[in-house]
This record gives sequence, C-alpha cells and structure tokens, in this order.
Amino acid sequence: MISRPFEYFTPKTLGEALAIMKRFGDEAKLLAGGQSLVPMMNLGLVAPRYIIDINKVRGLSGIRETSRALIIGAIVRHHEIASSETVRRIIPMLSEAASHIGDMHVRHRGTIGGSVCHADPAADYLPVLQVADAVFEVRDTRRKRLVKAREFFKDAFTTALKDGEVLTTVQIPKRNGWSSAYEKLEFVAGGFAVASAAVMVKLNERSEIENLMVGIGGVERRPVFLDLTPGFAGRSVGRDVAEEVEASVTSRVRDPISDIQADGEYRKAMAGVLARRAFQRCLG
Amino acid sequence: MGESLVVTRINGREYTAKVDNRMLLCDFIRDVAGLTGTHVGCMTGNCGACTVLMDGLTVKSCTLLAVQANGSEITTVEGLSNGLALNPIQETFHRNYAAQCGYCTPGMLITVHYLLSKKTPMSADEIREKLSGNLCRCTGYVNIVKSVSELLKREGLLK
Amino acid sequence: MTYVGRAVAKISDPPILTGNGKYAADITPPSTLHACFVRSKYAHARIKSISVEKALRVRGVRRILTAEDFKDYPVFQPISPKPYKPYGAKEAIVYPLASKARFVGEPIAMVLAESKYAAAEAASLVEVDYEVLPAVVDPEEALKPDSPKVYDHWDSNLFIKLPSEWGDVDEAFSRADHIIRDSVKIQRFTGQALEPRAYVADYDPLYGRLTFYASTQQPHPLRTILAETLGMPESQIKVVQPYVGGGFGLKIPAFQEEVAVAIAASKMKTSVKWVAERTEEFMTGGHARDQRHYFEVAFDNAGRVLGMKVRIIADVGALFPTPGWGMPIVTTIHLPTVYKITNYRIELLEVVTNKNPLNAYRGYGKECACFLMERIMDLIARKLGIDRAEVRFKNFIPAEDFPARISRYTVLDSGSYATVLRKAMDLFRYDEWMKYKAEAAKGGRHVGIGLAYELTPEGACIPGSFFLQYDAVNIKVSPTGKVQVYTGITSPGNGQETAIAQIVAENLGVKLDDISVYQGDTDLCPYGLGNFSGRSVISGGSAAMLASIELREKMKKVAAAMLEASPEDIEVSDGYFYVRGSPDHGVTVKDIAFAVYKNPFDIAKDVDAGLEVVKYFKMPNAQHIPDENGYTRNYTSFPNAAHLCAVEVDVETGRLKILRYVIVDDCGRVINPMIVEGQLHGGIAQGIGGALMEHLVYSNEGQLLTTTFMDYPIPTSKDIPDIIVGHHETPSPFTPTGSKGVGESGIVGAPACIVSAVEDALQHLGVKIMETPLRPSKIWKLIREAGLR
Repeated sequence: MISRPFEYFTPKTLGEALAIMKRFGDEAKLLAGGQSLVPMMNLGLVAPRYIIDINKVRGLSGIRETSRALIIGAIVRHHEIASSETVRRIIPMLSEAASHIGDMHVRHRGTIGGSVCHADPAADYLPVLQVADAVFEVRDTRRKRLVKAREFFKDAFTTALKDGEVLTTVQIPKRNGWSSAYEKLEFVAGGFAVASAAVMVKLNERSEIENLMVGIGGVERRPVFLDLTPGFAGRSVGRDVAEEVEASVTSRVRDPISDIQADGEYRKAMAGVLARRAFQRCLG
Repeated sequence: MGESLVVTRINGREYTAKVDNRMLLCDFIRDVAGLTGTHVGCMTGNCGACTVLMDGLTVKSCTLLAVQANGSEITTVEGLSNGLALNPIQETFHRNYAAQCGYCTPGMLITVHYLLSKKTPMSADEIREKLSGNLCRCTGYVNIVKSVSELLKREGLLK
Repeated sequence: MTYVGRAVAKISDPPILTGNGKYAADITPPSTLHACFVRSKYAHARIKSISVEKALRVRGVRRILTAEDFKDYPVFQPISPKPYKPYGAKEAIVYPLASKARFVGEPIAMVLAESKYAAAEAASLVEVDYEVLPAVVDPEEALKPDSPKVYDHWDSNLFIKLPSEWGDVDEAFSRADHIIRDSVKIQRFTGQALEPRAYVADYDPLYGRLTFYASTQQPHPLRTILAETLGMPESQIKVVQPYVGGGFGLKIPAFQEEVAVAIAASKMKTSVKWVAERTEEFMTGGHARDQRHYFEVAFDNAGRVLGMKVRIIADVGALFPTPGWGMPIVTTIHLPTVYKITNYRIELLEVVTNKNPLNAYRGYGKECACFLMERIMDLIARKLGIDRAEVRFKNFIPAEDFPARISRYTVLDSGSYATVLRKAMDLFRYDEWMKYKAEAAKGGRHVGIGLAYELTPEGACIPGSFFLQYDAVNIKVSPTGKVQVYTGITSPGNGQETAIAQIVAENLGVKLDDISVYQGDTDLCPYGLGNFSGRSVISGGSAAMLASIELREKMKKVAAAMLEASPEDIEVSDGYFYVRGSPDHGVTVKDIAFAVYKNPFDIAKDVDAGLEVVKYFKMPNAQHIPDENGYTRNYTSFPNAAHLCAVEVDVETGRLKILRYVIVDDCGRVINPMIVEGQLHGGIAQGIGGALMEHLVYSNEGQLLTTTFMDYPIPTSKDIPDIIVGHHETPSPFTPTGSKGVGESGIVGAPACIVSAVEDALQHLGVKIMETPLRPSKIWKLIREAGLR
C-alpha cells in the first residue's frame, strides 16, 4: 500500500516534464514502466511527493536507425526491443537481453530508459549497453548532453544523471563484423540476474581476435566493463582461449556482491563462466 | 489535491471516478468498478494474480496507478466470461482440474487467453516459459500446462 | 452409476473460473472501517510509549487502538500446552496487540480509518518509543544459560523436551558393524498461499451479533475462540468462510490480527476489515520446518539398521495460539517412519526464539522425519556400496508386522511399502534411467536419480484441542427430491466438497447433479473442525457416508411400502428406487420425499417424519487414554508414497533441471483420482520449492530479510516438470470409505527425493548433502568444498 499522498502529472511534452522536474527537485520521481517504482512505493521504500508520468510524452518512443547508429527512445518497452527486427539485426545481444527481463507482463510495461536510470546492479541492459559503447542523450530545461554508458553507472541505483535531467534516447553505434551474445544466470524464472555477461567479439579473416569486449552484470554494485582486446588481440580462437577469457574476467572482479542468493566468491566465478559461455556462443 | 479523475473502459463499459492518486489499478478494478475477479497477491509485481489486459497487452495491475488507465481499454476475467457459463479455455481448465483454490486463476486465464490469441506455435516447455509470470501455489502447474497444450493442439499449434 | 472412484470435475469450479468466487477481501459491508497494523520494528522490545497525535490528524482516521485497549482480551488457545507440562511445556498468554514485542512485525497498534489509504498513511505516522532488548535468534545459542530470555517468566528458552525411546539402543550399538554420525538441517520456510489473510468483522449493534468473514480453515473453532476471547455468547457469532485462496494449514486460527479485527468491530460497533499485505504474510503469517537433527545410526554389513539415536533441536519462534509448535512433536513420534528399527533413543528440544511463531504448514513435521530417514538410508547405501532401493527393501516394515506400533504414540495400521516402491520403480523405468545416467556420465554430464519413501500420517488427533478426528454432516432431502449437504469440513479449493458429493451420491443413491454441498458457515453447518491433516475425507467423508446410508435405508423402507415389497428387495440407482429384477416397478427420490412430507400417516407411516439426518463420525482407532504400558495413538491414518526423480546438474553454475518425477501414492481408497493427483502435483511442487529455493532468513538482530517473492521465490511453471502419478490402494481398516486422506502427500517426500537425486548426480565428486535449500550457489559451494578435501 502506498501510504504517502502524492500529486500526479502527465506532461505531454518533454519541456513540460522537465519544467515540473526542475520545480520539485528530488521530491519528484519519473514514472515510466513503473515495474520498479510502483512496487517500491507499495513497499514504502520510496515515498515521492510528486509523480511525473512520462508515458504520454511525445518523442520518447520509437526505434529507428541512421547510417551510424541505432536510436531507441527512452520509453520503448522491453517487449518491443525483444521483438524488433531492427535491433536483432544490428545488435542481437540487446534483443536477447530484453527478452530475459522479468516475465512477459513486465516486458509489456518496463522501459529501457527506466531500467537504465534505476541502475539496479542486476539489470540486464547495463552490461550490454556498456559493451556496445552506447551513448545516452540526457536533457534538462537548459541543455542536452551525451553520456557514455561506460561512464554512466556510478554505484548501485546511482547514475551520472543530475537533478532535473531526463534520459531521452539510447544510441548504439553500428559495428560491422562483430558478433555478440548475452548470458544470464538467474536462480528463479523472472528473477534478477545473479550474474550476467555480455560479450562482443570481432574476428579477422584468419579467425583471429581483433576485438573483445566483455560486460559483467549482477556481480558488482555497478556493471563491470572489460576491454580484453589488449590481452587477446591476434589470438586464434580455440578452447584454451575461451578458458583464458574466463580466467581473465574472474581475476578482474574486485568487489563482488554477497547476499542471500549467493556470496561474492560464487558471483566472481560465475562472471568468468558466463563470459566464457557468451564468448563461445559468439563464435557459433 | 492528491486526487485525479479517472475515465477508463473495463470490459467495454466506461467507468468514471475521482480517486486518490495512491489507488492502484487493481484497486480501481476491484473497489470502484466492483469487479473482484482480479485478485491481489503481492503488490510487488511478482505473483501475477492481478494480471489484466490493458490496450491489448497483459499487465500486472498492481504495478500501475489507477490514474494511468485514463483513456485505456481494460479486459478482466469477467470480460472473458458470461455469467457462470464456461468459455473453451475455462471449460478445458475445468475438465483438467487446472484450478484448485482459484486465486491465481483469473490472472492465469487472462494470460492464456492472450497467448492463444497470438496464434504462435509453442511446445510444452515454451508454454511453461510464457506462464512463468503467473504464480500458482496449489496445482504445481501440471494441469494448467496440460490444458494449454490441449487448447493449442486443437488449433494445430502445439509443437 | 458409481461415483466413488471417478474423476468428477469440481462442482465449485464455475464461480472461480469466471471470476465470481468471493474471497474475504472481496467483501466490504457498508460503513466498513479499514484496519492497518503498526508493527514492531525490532525482534525483541518493550513498547514504552506510542504517540498517535500525527496519525490522528490524517483525514478519515477514526481511532487508533493500542495494547492497553486489548488488555482484557487474552487470546483463547485452541491447543493448550498443558498436556505437555510433563515435558516442560509452559504457558505463554498472547494478546492481540503486544506491549512487549517478541518478533519483528508483531502488531503493537491498530489504525481504523474510512479508507485503506488513510489507514496506511496514519500507521506510517504513529511514533513508537522502544526499549530494544537483545534478540534470541539461534536455538542452540538460546539454550545456553546466559542467553537472553524470550519469556521473562520462564526459567529458560526451552519450551518442550520430549523423549521417544524404544528397545535397547545401547545394546544395538554395541553389536553394530558400522556407525555413522552426522546431522541434517532443514531450513525455516513456509507456505505463502497466494491469497493473503483477510478478515471482515461485521458487527450489528442492534442485535449485538457479529458476522466474521475469514480466510480460515476452521470456521467453528474460530467461532469458539472469538466467543471466549471477546466474552460474547457463541450463538451471537457467525463465522463465514468464503472462497479461500489456499490454506495449507497456515490459516488455522488464531492470529493476533484475526482476534483484533473482531474486537475492534465490537468496540466500534461497525464493520472492520483487514487484508494482509504479502510482507505481513512473510513476517507474521506463521512459519514452519526449521529443525536440526543430530544423529547416530548403527547398522550391519547387510545394511540393516540396528539402532538409532537422534537429538532434534527445533526453533519454534515465539508462541502463538496457532498449533505450529506441534510440528516437531509430530516429527518425533513418527520416527523411524516406514523402517523396522526397534532400538532407538530420540530427544526433542523445542526452543523459543524471537522469530515469527510457527503455524501448521502442510507436512506438519512429517517431512522432517522423512528427510532424516531418507538421508540415513542413502548414507548407508553409499557406505556399503549397495543400491539405495535395496537398502530400503531390507529395512521396510514387512506386511506381516501390521498393525505395527513404532513408538509410544503411534501405531501404523497398514502398509504395502515394498509393493509401492516396486510399482514406482517400474513406473519410473528405474533400470532404463540408471543406464541413461551412466551414458550421460560418459559424455561429461551429471545426471542423478533420487529416491525417497514417504510416510504421511494423517488424521491427527491431539487431546484437548480442536485438532481431532471427528466431523459432521447434515443431509437434508427436500420434498422435491433435491439433496442439500451441510458439512463441518472446509475446502480451500482442492475439491473436498466434490468428494463429499460423490460419496453422498453413491451411498444415498441419488444423482450427483441433485446434490448441493455447503460448507464454511457456522450457522448452517454442524460443528466440525474444518480442513487439515487429510481429515476432510477421513472424517468428513466418513460422516457423509454413514449419514447417506442411514437416509438411504429410511427411503428404502418408504419405497418398499410404496412398491409393496420388502426393503431388502429394493435396489437404488441414480435417484431411482426399484424392486430387484423389475426395473419398471420403481419410484423416484421425489416420489419418496413427497410421501414422507405429505403422507406421513399412511404411505410413510412406518418411519419418522422428515428426511434429514445429522451424523457425527469419530475415528475408531484414536486412543487418548494411555493403555497399561502408557501407550497412546495420536494419528489415525497412514498413507504413504514412493518418490523417484531424475535431475541434471550444471556443475559449473550449480543450476539444475528436473528431468523426470514419479510418485506412486497409497492413500487407500481413491474417491476422486483427479483430486488426488492435483494434491500430489501441488504438494510435490511445494516440496521442490522447499528443497531448492525457499528460505526465511533472519539477521543476527532478528530482522526478517526475506519479505517479498523477490527474496523468497516460490516455484514458477518453469521450475516444476510434468509429474507422473501412480496409485496403489491399501484401504484404511478404520474409515467406512476406505480412504486414508491425501492432503499432505507429496510435500513430505519431495525434498528428500530431490536431495537424493542431486547428491547422486554429484556423488563421484565426493559431495554429500545433508541440508536444504539447495540454491545453485550452495550446490556450487558443496562441489568446491568436496574438491578441496
């Protein structure tokens, strides 16, 4: 039960939304999919005085591509991303990650913008967007700026968003010749990732590694981005390389989360196992 | 002041009320529209007992504020039913003992109705995957999956 | 037409399938006040003062009650610890609101408001001044002399110390070829029915009458409890059990909130309603399991157990009027389950701690007994290198030993354990799967086969309580030949009312469609004890059968008079009474009924007026007066089952998949196979949840860390495989229907079966599993630890 009364706004334009946000500062919360916010309000974990529902704001939806990038509006729902031919063509691991979020009902409402801004350490998009080198367009009443996904996540539930800022689009650079895969380890269907791994790899014509990027989610308080290219460039792909990827990833997990589900030692090991599995899937 | 006007269509009928902003959609459906078939099991969006159709998609009505339903079309289990007569999905559940206490059943029926309407071929494992957003504590899901398999088979959609 | 034994679809289905079934939360009388409880933030604290100033300013708040308002209302206890006084049991009076909190979440204030939002808002504004006390959280720490005490007037935290001994265990150990010493640990978990508790107390000030709608499993006992607690005549209280969204024993009364709502209504002279939130269900809805067994088992080279010593430490939390603390006792009195072990020494220590009290969760302690014995059997098999099924065949109580007294408190009436296990192995295709396992191992896959034999004592019968084996039915045949059956048992949706209807149809000789069954209304139904312990069919079904036969004989007499034949020559079928051999020469139930109601002085002159009977049935084999040896019999029915399953473990992550699950269940005569199978599916699913993912975790300060389905997951459709069910019928010698009850079958053996399978899959890695739950991280850890040894 939500115990604290609140005022509710449904702005129709971004300008309206930003103005309301500026006016009420941190007493206001944005409502997008509501799949995290409303349960948290029901549990009494957050009690905002003002709710700004941005589901009707023009210009925040839609998936489109340009010659260089895939551009996804902040309030695009997970099920749209999961079933989009465009996304699957350009960056399959994003579509894969979206299809793993929660359950079918959650995917009908939850949004990419909401998930990214909530920054739950176990959210499926986070490692994927970092590996993909996504850029977030962020606006307030005065200006817009671009923030790299690799610099956006500061801590659990903490991002680089400043007061009064709204994430408006997620922009993913197109890359040719890469393959990508996303592996999620959840203990219960529809649950958060206990650990997850997003991998992007590019091979040259001789099946040697040219680029290797790994993103780990659910293991530390924020996603861990690892550019493994320096250690693996020029290597021919084979079983031992996969095992080295695993070892390399595991060794770089510094501060894994321990909770009721699993302790840090397990999460650290799983980061490596999932990275290896995602890597092997990239190779086909 | 902390209240909003809600105008929404549920099962084809329009409901208008000024409600506390804190009212969840599931509470609007139950307390304002008087349609108590939609049940509340957790209020954290985990159990799916409150599943309804909103603008053609299944949603957990405990994760939506009532005021968010302004201008929307909602279907609840009552909208799939005709008094106590059983439609083909309900009749299949009845014959296969797929409902015990009945608390998860309305949400389950909405989800099954939605899945069948997509006309997508599914295997038993895929059925299990698609139903995983609706928890049941009584049946162990065995007869629910059996019922959905039967319904798909009838349409030639069981993989 | 025979009805008993047929898979008749549930007669209670149409309302629940169409969204028309009314549950307690769906009922809101006019002028209802909504209640919201303020709950203790601490596990152990004295409530020094409560300030309600800010809270009262919320618009719509009518009154805020505190412990002071309830000081004259100690909650009546439906099961008193008095019979256990010789074992140290002490009293603990419970009040609806606590002035000293003994577990986190215990209710300490109650807000009554015109809307539930106002109530919740006001509750969040109530200010409480606590004197925080040290919390007792570990039962073994709680037993130490310097431990803080949960109850000040007790001399320790030991609630009950119960011994159970048989034969000469020391002599048995002296001649053993092998002795294993080990322990098992079963975590604290609970049922979490999908419908949270809900109560609506509708008080009518004009007549001083209370109508109490409750999501409950025992309407009549609840009425008695409310009458005694409120000081109201029982005849002024009506309890109505509407549709219930699952009970599993956890809705056996009485909860503090249950009584508080009734008292508040009588104080406010209006209707008061409370619906629990899921977090409240986790914190205060009653817990279960949480036992540690330290054991020693002595056996010979052939694998026959010679003797057993067990020390059970059970953490019962604080105490409630709910019967949860009976569970470890039930564990104790049913050891050594299905095995012929005639030398043992068992000691049970029930310890109170600052945790939510226990309530009766399906299984009621029998699952812990099963887990212990099944782990022991697997350990023995492993030690000696013999097949796990073989070990069980060697140790089963043989058919010729029945009836078999296995403890001072328990006589097993009948059983065909070897037959049932063999049937299960055939149905599972045991040899085929052992081959599959070996092939998989060659391919580097870890497949395991699990096996468990479950003894599921039902028909619980506890002296001086409302947990007994008697029940009642009132059958009325109307002049137009329709039958109304009022039963004292209740059904939270698993179809007991359908089984009752089938029994009546078959024995009364009427069509199923002409029968209506009513339950859950204390004004309409005869005093009965609701549903738990499989009793709906054991006691309720038996009463229905005997009542039906009595009425049938009366109708036969009237038919005989109408047909000018003798009653012995009358046959009955589907509402038609006819002379044997002359099917054209007959009368319908309607004809007979009209004769009784309209012609009692001529056609029906030889029978009493009316066509109605009230019948109580009492299980004949309960024995509460000790015999010359001091022995009693507290459970009256002994269904049992064999479980087999196959799992595959991903050793890199610890995740597992259940590949196959088979159960062969012996619940005596099956009234409705669909109901039986449904019960088994659900019970096994709950058992799997307990084995793999459910755990109520308390911090060292007594804070409950698992209060949502995110932290405490229950199985989804992806977690439960198809479950294959087989039957075996060894009828009960004591119920007229031959039925043994099936409510707790499945859940008792499933955890042991799953653990057996996972251990089997990882055996060659040196893994031994003696505890649950087995989250993937736990399995991974066990593999690592085994590898490091």
